[in-house]
Amino acid sequence: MKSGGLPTAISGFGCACSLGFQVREVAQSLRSGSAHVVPVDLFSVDGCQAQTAAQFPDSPAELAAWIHPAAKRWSRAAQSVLVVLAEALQNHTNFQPDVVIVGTTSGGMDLGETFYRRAIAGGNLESASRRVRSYLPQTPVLDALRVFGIRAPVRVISNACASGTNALGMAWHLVRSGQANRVIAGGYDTLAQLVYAGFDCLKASTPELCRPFDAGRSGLVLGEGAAFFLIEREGPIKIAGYGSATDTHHLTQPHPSGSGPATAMRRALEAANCEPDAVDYINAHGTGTPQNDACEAAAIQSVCPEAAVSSTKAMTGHTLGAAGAIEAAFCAISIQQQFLPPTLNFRSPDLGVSLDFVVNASRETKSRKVLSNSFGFGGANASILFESA
Amino acid sequence: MSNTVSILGAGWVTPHGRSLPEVWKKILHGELPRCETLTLAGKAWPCYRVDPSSLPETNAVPRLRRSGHISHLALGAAINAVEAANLTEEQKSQLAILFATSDGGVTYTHRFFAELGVRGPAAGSPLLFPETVYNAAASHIAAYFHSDREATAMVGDAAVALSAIATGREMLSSGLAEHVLIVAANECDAISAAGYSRWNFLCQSQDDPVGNIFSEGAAAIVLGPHQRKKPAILWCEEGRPYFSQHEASDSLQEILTRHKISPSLVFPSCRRTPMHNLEEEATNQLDGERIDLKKSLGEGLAFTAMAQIVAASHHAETSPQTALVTVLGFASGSAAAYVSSR
Repeated sequence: MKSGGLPTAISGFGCACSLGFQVREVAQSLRSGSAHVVPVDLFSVDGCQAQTAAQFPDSPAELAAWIHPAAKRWSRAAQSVLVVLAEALQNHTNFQPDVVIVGTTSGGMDLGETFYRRAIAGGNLESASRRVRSYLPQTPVLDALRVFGIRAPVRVISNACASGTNALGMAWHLVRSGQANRVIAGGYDTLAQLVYAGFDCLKASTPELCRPFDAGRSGLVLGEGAAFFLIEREGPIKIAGYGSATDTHHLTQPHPSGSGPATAMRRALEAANCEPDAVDYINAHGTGTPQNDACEAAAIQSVCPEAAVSSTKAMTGHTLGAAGAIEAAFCAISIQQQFLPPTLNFRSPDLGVSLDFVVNASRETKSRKVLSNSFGFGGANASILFESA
Repeated sequence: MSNTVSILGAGWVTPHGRSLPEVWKKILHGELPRCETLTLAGKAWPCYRVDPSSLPETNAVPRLRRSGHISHLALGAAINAVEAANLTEEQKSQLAILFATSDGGVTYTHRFFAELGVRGPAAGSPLLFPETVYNAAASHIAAYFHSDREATAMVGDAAVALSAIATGREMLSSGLAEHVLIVAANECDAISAAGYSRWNFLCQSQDDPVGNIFSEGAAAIVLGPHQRKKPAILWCEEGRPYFSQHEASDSLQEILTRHKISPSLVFPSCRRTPMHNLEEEATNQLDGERIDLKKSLGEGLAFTAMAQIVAASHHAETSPQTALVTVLGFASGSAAAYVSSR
């Protein structure tokens, strides 16, 4: 991907996760280094190795219903999308996008599971199927957009945990190439039993604390959230470059060399015409699983060894299809408020890794260029570079 | 910057088989595939499934030994499309891949969730779960062609297939890729049939005048720079989402009025469904013989939408024609594309 093209920037954004439902709240928690990881109370996790998740601090239902009363009956996913879009659009009420691009892995699965349970138990499918529409990944977004009078085509990207970054990357391509003037892009995912049980059975989830890049890390903690961005020509945060790569080594395991993530990072820097040593900070994918973090550390070491690095997943949990978008919001906050969020629960680094990790407390700094990494099942690797305009 | 791109190769895996000309002949002759039955919770739904002999030989691809059915369907169509495109090994290794689906790996998802239902949340299968992610097929296709470019899964109702084509055209226009492989696939499972039965677009028997038989399959195209001797996609657009019947017709019509078209063939998507009149309303000013694929291929959502494109492309390659493909999805998606022999 060659550098150049039209300027592309973020003019507004909203973000909700376990740290709060508004950017202001989220930024405060990032700066103070607080986490909200709690015992799961949304569904049964009986017998699972892990028992915790980074849930929203409260149900999003009340906030959503305040914006649009009918949203009280929506899926948790749709409610969170509505809340976040309301924040993103609050100072941009006339923003009409050419297209909306959204990353997610499980859509409105929290309601879809109701139908699955009923069907598998031989229950009344006729009434249960009313809720099937909510399971479709485009539905939460369509329902929320409709509240704001936005009727643009919606594209749903589902590239596992890279989805949110892929969505932003696609939006960047469209605006910089002049094929779109305005795009809403982002990602969402809420906790669902199927996904929770899936990561648990893979032994990717940890029964203890999530400790990204720590020598004694034992796995990830799942989370939930959403973030959406208004992308156009001008705005306070520039999207400077995006790169992606597919690692075909294995469906769920990255190649140990870190070649996939490294290629994505290099392509993002190339697209931005940015030298690796100009990157001030990397918001790492950093899930806290032994293999992923080792692979990512190797990639960062080979591409941007001088950059400060942290993973915010010990605070927010791994929000899967929303992670790329949420962490892009963290990058924007980091640039606007000039601090780097920390990797919590860190004790000691892996032998042989000598990166500048920001650990256990945020760091005040002047950062201008910030890279966000997202990697997922299927060998989906994506990196996106932001800089102050 | 020209937005005209060519379909360099096309392929499909259908309940009628995998050969493009032979399946096309069966469609034109109105032949029906063998009908099977899906059952769940005391209910039954007829379906058209793909004969396993139509699937690619995957013994040589270790990753595919445990992969879900949808990945086999998708890879079969992808292999045919890439072969027809006559790409070099280097071009294959730089293919961008877009995989469009409506239900993804729903068979494995159903099995995985059923195990949780019976044995509790700690009983998930680590073999099944990774294959339930929507992008599993995209990843397997990338691995097969040794491509390290972006392999992206897109999800939606039937219109997602045309969204993927629109995305592919944008990738080519912005220089992001030299060639884009676009595959759309869907697999049959009783749980999807149970869910979709509410939308009244599935029928209960081959003789039923209303609705289509639920079906599975995959269809694929390779898009590349315009070549004079290959069918071209002159335009492909997504419509505004609709929330009522009235809006559905308007959404499609808005796309069509933006272009001057005079198709010799029209491939509609909603014959025998409650959406038929709305689709007709949007296209009734246009001449052109209507070709209904779903009578022969069934309702395979994203798969059948892409099959409309493959059929239009095949027809355009064999005779000088222009074909309009229209899609009204069941969940607010609308799209249309214009395929020409030039």
